[in-house]
Amino acid sequence: MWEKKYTLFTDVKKKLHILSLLLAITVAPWLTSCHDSPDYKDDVYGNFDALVDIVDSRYCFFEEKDIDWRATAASYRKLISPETNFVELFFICSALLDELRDGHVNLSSRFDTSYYRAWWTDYPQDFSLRTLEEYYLKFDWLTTNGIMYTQFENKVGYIYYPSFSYMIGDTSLDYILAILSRSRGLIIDIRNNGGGALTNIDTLLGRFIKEKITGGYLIHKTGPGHSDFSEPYPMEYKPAEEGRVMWDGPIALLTNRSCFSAANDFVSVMKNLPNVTVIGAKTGGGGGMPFSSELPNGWAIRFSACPTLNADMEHIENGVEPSPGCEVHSPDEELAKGKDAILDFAIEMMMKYPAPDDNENEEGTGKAGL
Amino acid sequence: MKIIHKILLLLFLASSATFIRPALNDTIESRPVTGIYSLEIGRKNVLATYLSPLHYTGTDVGISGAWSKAMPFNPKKAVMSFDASVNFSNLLNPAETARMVGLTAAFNWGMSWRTMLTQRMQLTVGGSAGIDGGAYYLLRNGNNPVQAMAAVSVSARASLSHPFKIGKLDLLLRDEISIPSLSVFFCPEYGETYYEIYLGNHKGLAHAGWWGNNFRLHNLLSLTFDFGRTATMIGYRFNADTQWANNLNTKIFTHSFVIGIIPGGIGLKKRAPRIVGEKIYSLY
Repeated sequence: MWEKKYTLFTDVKKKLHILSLLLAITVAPWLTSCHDSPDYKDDVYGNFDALVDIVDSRYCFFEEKDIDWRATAASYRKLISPETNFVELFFICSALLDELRDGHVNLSSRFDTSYYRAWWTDYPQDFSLRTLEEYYLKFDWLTTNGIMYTQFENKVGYIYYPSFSYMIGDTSLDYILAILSRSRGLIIDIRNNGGGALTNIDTLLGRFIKEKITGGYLIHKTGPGHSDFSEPYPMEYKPAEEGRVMWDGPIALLTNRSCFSAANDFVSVMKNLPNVTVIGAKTGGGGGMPFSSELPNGWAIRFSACPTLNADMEHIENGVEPSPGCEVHSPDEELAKGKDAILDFAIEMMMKYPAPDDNENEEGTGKAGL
Repeated sequence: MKIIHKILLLLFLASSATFIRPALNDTIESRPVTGIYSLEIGRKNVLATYLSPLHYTGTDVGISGAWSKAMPFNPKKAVMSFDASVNFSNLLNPAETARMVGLTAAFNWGMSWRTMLTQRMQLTVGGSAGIDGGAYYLLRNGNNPVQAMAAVSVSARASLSHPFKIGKLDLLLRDEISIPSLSVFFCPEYGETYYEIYLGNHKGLAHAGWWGNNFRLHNLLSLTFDFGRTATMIGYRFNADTQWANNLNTKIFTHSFVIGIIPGGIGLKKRAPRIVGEKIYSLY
């Protein structure tokens, strides 16, 4: 009797095995369909709605800029009709994105890339590369890693760094600082520097600090809500490794409105150092690291996604002010005549410091050393 | 020297014991390793909302190996297996304006118990532990270029096999399913850059996974032709890998044609024992 029961039990057990296997296969498609993403049609409305939703859920400065994105988007959606073609749609979308007032926002198609330019076109340029090269560098300078540098006749060291996209090598930086070591002060000119790689900030800053500093904070979105942000995470900068050439003398950092993104971050961090004076105009901002996404028709969209905060945990999206009393502008008419007021201001300031060679027994204030 | 000789002899005996072990009834147990070496080619569909809200589709190619062996403590029932695979995918968005490439790898070690459901149909049920990872790289993205994948998981697995003959040809129809059920997996936060992770912010990256947020299913339906000294396998593999964490949705579906070779065959075509009294514990 028990044998019969056992056989029955094992039969049931076998059936359960098969049943559970079948159940797993049946349930699988249902489980994998959880958390569906919205499906947009590849037409003018579908692409517009996709753009609005992507920006709505991922853009990071709605609250800082007081933008009612949904209402703004609704007003632009009225401009679309079934007859609207994709070229027209592109310009409607571009105009909508301009409402974000953000130089990190672009919409890219095969025929154009939209770009909000007013962040710098509405301001004086305060810089002329030709004036710098002709009247100050006298067409004679050293170049490495995209950096132009020289020592002026009055023993002021000068570095022009046009873009953070130029990767700075540690050895090149050693040479630059060693060659400029016997200067009374160092001018670092980053006017017109539109940004690039943040890692270059670490490389540069490491030569100007003796101990680890918190230069700012990063936050990122944790969800699609306009207020869904992480706790600020400190961005710490360390001194360069032992044996590298360092600089601990006075530094004048020259800025204009076209300093953007990584250059803006650099100014924000450098401004905290006691030996640094920021001279020129307020920077252009760009204090949000951009993310990329795309629309059903293949257009790429780029937008600010991760705000950068300064050491006081303030947003730097709208730019960094020069040091107190150091806002200086270089009018175009003066630049055309060979006078760069911002650079002159910086040189005049550096002349207050003794040059190392003024008195061989005294060390200059602008010194570099191993 | 004598001690060294003794150690070497012991090591040799210990290693031999895993392959051939004299049984109590004077038979010799032989447990050959069945290795399947496969090439896979198929179609992949990837949705990774960290990178893009669009589905990317394209070709997936891979190589894989699966090694199985009856265990000495219960060669009739217990089977140990080890699987490894590497896959590369080349994908495009629907408008074909952007490319995504993926490289993934997986390793699994498992133990299964087999039983005969009918005289010929074999069922195996067991579990495995594995590690897998890789990355999907969307070439045109800036600060969010990669969906990195990494998981350590414990899977439930089962298979049904049914051997049959067509003329003199021995065949095996088999379906194997593996469902990673508990895992720890990696996912960046919703809008977090890899730069921030590089700076050291590792908060919220590791997630405990279960069917609700990390449902995965790997199924292989195969037909094996056993020629005795070797066997050939053809099959269809369906893999579903999904994860939901930090408001990010990742869904990867792969349909592949699989062709494999099994040196030594799978044991359907019974061969004469090499040694009198040898009992071969093949997988079928």
